[in-house]
Amino acid sequence: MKFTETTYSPLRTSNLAIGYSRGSRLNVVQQHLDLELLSGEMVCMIGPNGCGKSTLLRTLAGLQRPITGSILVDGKNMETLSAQDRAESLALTLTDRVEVDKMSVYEIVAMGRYPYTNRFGKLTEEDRTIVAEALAHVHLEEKALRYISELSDGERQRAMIAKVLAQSTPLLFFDEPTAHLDLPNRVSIMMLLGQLAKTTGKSILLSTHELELAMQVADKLWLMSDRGVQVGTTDQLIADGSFENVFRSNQFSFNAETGRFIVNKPF
Amino acid sequence: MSRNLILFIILIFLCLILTLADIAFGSVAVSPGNLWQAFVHPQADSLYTNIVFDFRLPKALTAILCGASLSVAGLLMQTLFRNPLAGPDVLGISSGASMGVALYVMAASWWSVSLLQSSWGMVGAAVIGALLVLMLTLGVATRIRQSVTLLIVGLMFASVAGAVVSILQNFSNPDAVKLFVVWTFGSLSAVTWPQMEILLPIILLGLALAFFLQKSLNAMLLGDHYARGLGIPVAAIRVMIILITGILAGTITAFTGPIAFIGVAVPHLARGIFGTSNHRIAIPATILCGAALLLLCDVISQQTTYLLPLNAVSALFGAPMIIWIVLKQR
Repeated sequence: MKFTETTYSPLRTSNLAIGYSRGSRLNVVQQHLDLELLSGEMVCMIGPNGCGKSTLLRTLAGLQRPITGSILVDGKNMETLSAQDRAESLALTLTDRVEVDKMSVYEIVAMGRYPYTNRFGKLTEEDRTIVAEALAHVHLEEKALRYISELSDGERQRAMIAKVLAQSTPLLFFDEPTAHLDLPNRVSIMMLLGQLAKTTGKSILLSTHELELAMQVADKLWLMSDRGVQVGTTDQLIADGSFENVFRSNQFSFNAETGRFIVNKPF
Repeated sequence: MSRNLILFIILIFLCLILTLADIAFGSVAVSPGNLWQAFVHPQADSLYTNIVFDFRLPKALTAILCGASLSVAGLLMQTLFRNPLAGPDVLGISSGASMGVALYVMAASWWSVSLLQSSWGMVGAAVIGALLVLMLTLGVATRIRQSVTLLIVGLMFASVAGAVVSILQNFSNPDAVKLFVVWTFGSLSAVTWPQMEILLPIILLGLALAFFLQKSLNAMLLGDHYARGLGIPVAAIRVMIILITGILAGTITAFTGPIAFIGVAVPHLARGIFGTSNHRIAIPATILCGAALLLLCDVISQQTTYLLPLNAVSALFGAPMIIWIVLKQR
């Protein structure tokens, strides 16, 4: 199944400024952001530490308030959405490691249905179908009844992705989904997310430090630095020299022809 | 039949048997025949009828309520703080109750006020003390977002209350100190029927409220951010959890004195036996395990001529049991 309608954007920001306010001190991390996510696309946020990737993700997810500007979710202002509406529009995984003892993978994934279930979290037949589908998407059917604490890091991350899928939202956010994973798992998680965007028509936004991987699998990149956020495909951002500018360093250099980062003569 | 259902049935039977044992065994043994007699043909002037209905039955009922409420309070705190060492006393509620009783018993002795030694006075003082600390904690909870900060603040409140108690003890006469110390031993036998009419509905209300929170509690296990992502109003739920804990732990402490250990240990026991942290199972499991464990402790504590302090028995016999269960799971 392929979604051809690309003009629909479930998320849009206008003149957004993000950051923290601690008492009267205001720390603006990024400003003048006009960004949008299209349905069926996977966007990777990349950029050096401290450029505000997590802050942007949290702000877009409604976990922290924007300093100025607005976020439109499906045309409605994020600030006016109830917690319930928000939970039905966007789902996310964070870098907070989930340390839950004695909860099965199935139970965790089924929590994705919480916005839709009754007070006691009772699953209907439809909920069970959706949870089963989510588990199938991440290939964890076999481990559904295992405790989540018994899974490997890669499997655990897939379980969290299944939980997000079970939430049945048009927007999926992932904060560093490949952190702490080995190379095969990093690749498989990124491929999985890319496929999900294509097959489900959801918009996927993730932050990552896997530059080369992101450059290969993302539909679009949000390249963040202290100079702002540049949006484009990998090819566009290579062509206009953005990569070289953002990741300028005397220790490594970016080769525009191969699209790779090369460490300058070591020692 | 599912494994959980079988376990629940076994636990319910265990509670029933322990309740009967708690009624039958004591300084005066009630034989099964006399027990039957007392229940089926109660006679107002019969010795056994009096023992059973006026003393043993309210005591057994108090054991069940106390075990259930302290354990559920502990479960709520462990979930709220996502910390296996949390218990009903981490918010300083028990310490607040102790402070209330200490003020009532000992401060009164300074001014040589003729103290009305009614049990209602102690209960009232404990409730006021617990409520005071609960209000402070709630006030803080609505201001701070981090649960860990709240945990530290709660522990600090407990320390302050403990310090006030120490100072009071230092300046009080020995009789008042003895009265207070006996209260801190914990006792189930102080609850009379008129008091039960108040205790029972409050505890049932608290347990019912906890039941209604089960979905939010499960989400809280993932952490505040994930819970918010699932549409759970975390700030409101946190206040609810603290309030319910206050109702459960504060009320029972007022009537029985502080009973340590049960609240921290039983949630582990219940989750271990049923193999799940899901509150849909964990709450009823915790209620039954808590009731059974405290009944057992009470049966043991009344085997000697002089009643052993319940607080000591619960830790002495319960702790090795919990250690065994926790180690066995590894």
